[in-house]
Formats: sequence, C-alpha cells, structure tokens
Amino acid sequence: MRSMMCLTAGLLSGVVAIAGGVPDDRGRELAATCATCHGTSGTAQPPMPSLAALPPDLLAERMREFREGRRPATVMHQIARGFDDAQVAAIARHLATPPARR
Amino acid sequence: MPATSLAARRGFLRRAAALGAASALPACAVPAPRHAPRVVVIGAGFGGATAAKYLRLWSGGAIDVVLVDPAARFVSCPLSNLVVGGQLPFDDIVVPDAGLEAHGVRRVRAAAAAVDADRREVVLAGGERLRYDRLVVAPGIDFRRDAVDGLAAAPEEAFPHAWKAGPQTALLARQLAAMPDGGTFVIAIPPAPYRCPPGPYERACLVADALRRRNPRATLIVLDSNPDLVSKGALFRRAWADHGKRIDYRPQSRVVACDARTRTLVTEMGERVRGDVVNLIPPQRAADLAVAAGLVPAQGTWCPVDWLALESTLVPGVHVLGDATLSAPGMPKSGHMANQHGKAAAAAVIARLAGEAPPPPVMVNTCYSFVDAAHAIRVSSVHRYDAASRTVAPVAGAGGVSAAETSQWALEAGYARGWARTIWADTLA
Repeated sequence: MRSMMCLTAGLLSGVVAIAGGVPDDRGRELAATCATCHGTSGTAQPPMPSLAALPPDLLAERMREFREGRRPATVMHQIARGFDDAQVAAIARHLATPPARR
Repeated sequence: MPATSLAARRGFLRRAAALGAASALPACAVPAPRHAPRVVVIGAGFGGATAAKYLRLWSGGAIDVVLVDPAARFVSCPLSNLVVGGQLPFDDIVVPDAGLEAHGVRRVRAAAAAVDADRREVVLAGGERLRYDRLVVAPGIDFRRDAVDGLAAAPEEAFPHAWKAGPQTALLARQLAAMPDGGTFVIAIPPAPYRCPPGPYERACLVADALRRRNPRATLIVLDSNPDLVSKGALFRRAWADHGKRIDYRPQSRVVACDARTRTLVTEMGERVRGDVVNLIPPQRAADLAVAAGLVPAQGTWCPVDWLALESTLVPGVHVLGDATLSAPGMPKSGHMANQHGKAAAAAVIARLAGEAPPPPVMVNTCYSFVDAAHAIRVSSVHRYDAASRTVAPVAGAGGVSAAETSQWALEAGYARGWARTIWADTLA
C-alpha cells in the first residue's frame, strides 16, 4: 500500500491524491511504446498488425524470432533488438489483461 | 496466486484507492481534499494531445485535464509533403480530434501567452488565468526569421515554409502546381536540429516526382545548410538517382539573406539563387511560449529537461515535451517521438501526483519518408533512460533503416500509410 501512505506531495496543496496504479513490471508504459504503430490497447489500423488478439506466449515468441532474424520483417527485426525478454513479457502480460483490470 | 494476476490485482487496488481516495484519507491523518488534481497541457500537437489522452486513460479519469491550443483543427505534418507534391488531397491530412473530448479532456481554444510558475497559473492571450497542479508544455517550434536578412519583412507568399501543416501546406502546393513551364523550384534546409530530420529530403523527392510528371523541363535546387543529408542519406541518394530527374543538391549552402521582390536567396558563400517557387524552411527554436515561460536558457534555443520525468531544468513543476525539447543524444524531433514523449510525461505526472518515482522512460521512434506516392523509406530507433548518464540514449544494436532493395519500399509505403492512421488514432481518438 505504498501509494496510500505517500500522498503528502499532493495533499499539501489540497489536491485529491492520485494513486499511480502501475503494476511494478511497467507493462502499461512499455506497451504504450508499441501503441504508436500498433494502436491504443493494441488495436491498429491496417495493414499495421494488431497485438490485442495475440496470446502472450505467441507475442514473446514473435519478438524472439524478429530479434534473431528468423522471421521476415520490414522493421520489427530492428525494433525487437531494443527490448529484452523481461520487457517483452511485461508487454505481453499487459496486453493480455482485460482493459477494465489494467 | 500467480505473479501475473497478483500484479494486475495490485494495479486494480491502487486504481480503487485513487477513485475512492476520500475513504483512504483518515488513515493518513490529513485534511480533506479540496479538488481533483488539474493538469494543464499547452499545445495539442502529437505530444500534447497524446499526453492529455493518456493522463485521462491512466488516471481512470481522476485527473482534470485541460488542453490549451488555439487551433480549430488538427492538420498532420506527417503525410503533408504528399499534399505539397499533389499526390494526396489536403483534406486527407485533416484529422478528427473529437475523441479527446470523449476521453474527458477539456479543450480551451485559446493561445497561452505566459506561465506564472510561482502561482501555478497559465496566462492566456486574453488575460484569463488557468490554475494547475502540474503543467505540461508541448508548444512545438517557431522560426528564427531574424537569422535570414530580409525574411522577417518578406510577405508570406514570397518564401513559404510549409513546415507547420495547414494553410502554408496548401500555399506551397498551389505555387508548385502553378509554376511556369521550365521554372525553378528551390528548397532551403535549415541547420540541424530542426523538426523532422528527413522531411526536407522527402519533400525534394515528392516535388521532383511532381515535376517529372507535370513540368519536366523544370529545375529543382536544394540548398542544405548541413554538410550532408541529415537523415537516411544513402537511401535518399538512391531514390534521387532512380527518379531520372536531376536534383541539384548543394550541401553547406546556408541561406543568410533573401530578397522577396526577386525571390532570390543568398548563401553564406555569397552564392545567389533565384527561384520561381522558393520554399525557405527557416532555422528553428522552441516556440515563443516556451521562451515566454522561461523554459529556454538565455543563450539557448531549446528547452533542457531532466529526461527521467521530462521536467524542465529551469522551471520546477513544468514538464516539457516534443520538438521544443533540447533533444537527447540520437533523438529526432518527430511526431512519433513526441507521441512517445507524451506517454512518458503522462506516466511521470501521475507518479509525481502520487508521490512516487517516475518510471524510467523507454521510447521508440519510426519515421517514414515517401520517395513517391507508392514507395517509402524508413528509419527506426529504440531509446532507454540511462540512470548513470541521466539521459535517454539509443539502445545499441537496435534500430536501423529500410533495406536497400527498392522492392521493399513498396511494402514500406503501405505501412507508412497504416502508421499515419494508427498514430493519428493513438494521439487523437
């Protein structure tokens, strides 16, 4: 309950406190870096691929394939090398969480 | 309970704590709150609009977000070079932005004139004041017209920049379409850094494409302030060679003076270049509002920030993002990057309001450039906060440019159009 005990910064100014609401793996913020091309919450405009329907294991496997050059790509072989397995797992978990529970 | 659902549940509990903050307060023994936190965002471009939307999304609507911008509509810089070249209708880069209000973002269609950081108020051009708890400034660029003798006094039609999408884009498109047979089109590129590093070279491609079809005896001269192409140099040179239309590219040709009456430019080497259409893209700096707000140092042209939270190093409690920032190493001034800044700033603002540490930012960039209506080239990079150097730096080994095979460029063009529709939706819908 770290966020509930650390409200002083906001409350000193009489502001309703905001909880961060961020799971510790930062999947929300990491997934948002994908959203520019793959859409808010993973729903893209064609022909950009949507990520929303991808099972977490498949997303992680695709990223490994891109990183290792085992899957044809115009761009993802270059982007995938910027993310490690833990980050990809966090992104996959976030996208697999129903929006109401994120 | 597996880690996944535990993390999700923790997030849910914190969200619940935010929404029901009043019930949590007695345990903290503090006075009752007076108002929901208000974040004012100045500038409704790719950076500001994204920050406003994600502040609403990620706070579950608990933050009062006010977006200040005088523009009546959103006109996209990405794809606007296709409008200049006549390959795309102007209406296709006017993007609906009512989705922001559907997220609960309040719009104030007015210009911000100043920031009173001591009182935490934004002063609007009409004198009205807007209180804020935290401020996000995404003002974009303005031009250093004083860097070119004669430019400040020149009429707009003499040297259109078309570097802010809108009426200037349509003006330059009309001038290109109306250029006399066998005439001369000049593009003058400012010193880096400027908004959209590959943009001037994309424009040269698309103007050349238009001239090849409509005015084949015409000449295209490119005066570049820089020692060589600033972005995707090898790919652009290949595209220019393939055009079968000579582009007279002159590096190290910074324009220092201009004569509106004869549409003539003078370079620092003393060369005089006259054109029938002269697209002079002036040197750039952070926009006027950033200067008025004290976010630009006395001898500087951009806004320095602490990249952990995109907070101004000059004015406390103010986040700055987008093209106006003093760019981190290897970071382009692009709409894509501004969208990524917007999300990093939203996360940092929410963390600050909760008294938590901002998440170390990760940012991705991709810039597509059309070489004609059916082919595009691309540059991409991944950037990550580095605590040791306290900046955001490119991840080694990641990123790159399009393949050299032009067969790939047709695929890239399809993705470029899909990218535009997706970033528009991620920013505005």
